[in-house]
Amino acid sequence: MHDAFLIAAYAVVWLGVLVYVTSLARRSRSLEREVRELRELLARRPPP
Amino acid sequence: MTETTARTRNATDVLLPPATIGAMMAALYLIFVVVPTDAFQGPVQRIFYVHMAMWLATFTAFGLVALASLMYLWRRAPEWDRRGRAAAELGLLFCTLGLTTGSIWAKPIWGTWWTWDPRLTLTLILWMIYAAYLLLRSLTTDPDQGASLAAILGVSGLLDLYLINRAVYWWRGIHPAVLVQRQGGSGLADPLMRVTLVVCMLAFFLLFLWLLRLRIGAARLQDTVEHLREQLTASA
Repeated sequence: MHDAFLIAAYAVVWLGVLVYVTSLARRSRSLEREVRELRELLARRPPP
Repeated sequence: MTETTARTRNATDVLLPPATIGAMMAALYLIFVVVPTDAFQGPVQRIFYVHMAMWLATFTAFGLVALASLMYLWRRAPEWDRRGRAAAELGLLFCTLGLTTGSIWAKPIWGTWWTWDPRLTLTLILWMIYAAYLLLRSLTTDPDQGASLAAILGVSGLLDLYLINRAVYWWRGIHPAVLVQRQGGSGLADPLMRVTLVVCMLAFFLLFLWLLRLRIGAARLQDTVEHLREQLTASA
């Protein structure tokens, strides 16, 4: 019975870290893409 | 940025991931293979190693938020704001995991998932303070005003951190103070238990540092996006 609590605790920790790392990686990739697109847009604009 | 600083940053980025993974493997090996089972609590005591490691990461993160907030209020430099934001998000992650692992440990040992013990209550308040810090950042329309208000909240969290540290001595709740005293013959009686705790804390501290660097990188990208958007609007 106590083993179930032990497994649950470690599962929660690793799941929590995994979800956070995945969301951080997704956010970073999306931001990198946005930076690239915005720089391209700015480069295409004629100088004032 | 000087050349030496850049070299140190590159070396850290290269060394941190393998050091974290190595320390994590060693911690798991010690927890599940080497360390003896606690005579009073049984296998569930092994939760304690990861639970304590969560608090080291949490307190470091929130301590960093307070430092970064103070520096931001003093210097108004965006880099300090980014560091504060990144540390607050990670602190909240590790605080959530610390509260959850504590609750899972409490059910078989105390017979309840939660009790309004002074240390537990103050920790829940700590979680709320930094959740409010992040919420404030996302709700305010003026970024400078949001950063300043959040910085004030970030510094005020220090008082709660101090109260959490003193709670087991001042109010005598049921939360154990295993690092400083053995209660009911339990605690860290075996030297192997103490070694395991140190290795586990080191592993999660390295994980925290690694994630912090990644999160600060993402915050820099976010600021670049906002800066580029402003440039585009200005040139339209």
